[in-house]
Amino acid sequence: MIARWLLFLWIAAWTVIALLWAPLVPLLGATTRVLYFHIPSAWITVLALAWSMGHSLAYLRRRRIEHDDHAAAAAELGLVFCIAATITGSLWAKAMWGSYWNWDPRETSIFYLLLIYGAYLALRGSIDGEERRARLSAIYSAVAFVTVPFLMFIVPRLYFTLHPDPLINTHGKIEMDPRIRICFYAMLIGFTGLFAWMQSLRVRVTRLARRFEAAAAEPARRAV
Amino acid sequence: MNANFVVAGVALLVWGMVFFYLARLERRVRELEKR
Repeated sequence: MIARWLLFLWIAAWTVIALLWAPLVPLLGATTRVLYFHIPSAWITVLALAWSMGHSLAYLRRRRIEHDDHAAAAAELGLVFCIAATITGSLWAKAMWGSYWNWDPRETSIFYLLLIYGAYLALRGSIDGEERRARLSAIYSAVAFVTVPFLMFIVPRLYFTLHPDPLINTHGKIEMDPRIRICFYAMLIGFTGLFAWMQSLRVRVTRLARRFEAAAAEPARRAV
Repeated sequence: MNANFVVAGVALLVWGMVFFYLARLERRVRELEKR
């Protein structure tokens, strides 16, 4: 539990430092504050979906249900963080562009990503049979991840967008005030720790649910 | 009041709520795992 409290203090401290110590980006003004939550959320989205894809491939290779647990949990969390990135991005868009949603290439990309991984969860929910669900979901997840680099990194660079340069800009450089950069990296570390905790909790809940389902089914099986 | 303090306060409140929800969930999961 000490690690959890350290994580709490880490994110809390860096939130305060980022908001009170780091300067504002001149072009973005007060909306700079969203940066410390929006980009880490987007980063965790990519990390979680990559984690899901990795475990899906591992499941297809080894057929161990633990991999499916990890893949499903990571996809769910990827979707949660994607929604967080969408909401924070939308708030930023309202302040900068005057509208919550403008169908900018960035917004369109993230919308498709939400649909693709929403469909993954719908697919999981519609299949009976643990092994069949795990196999079909793993195939879907592995294929779906191909779209992630395309939607997150390629499309927004191919088309004109009002969205500010991504972290690594079009010249391939990271151009940030050093104080913003420190806070930003600290928040990335904090969010990664939060994802690791949530992922572990989600997987443990899935295992518990399986254990209790098996225990509940045992008397019926014995009766037969 | 400086807007930065307001934003920091709201962010800390949200983070505190998320943290305590997860901590409570963790405690419950640990109890169930021991059964």
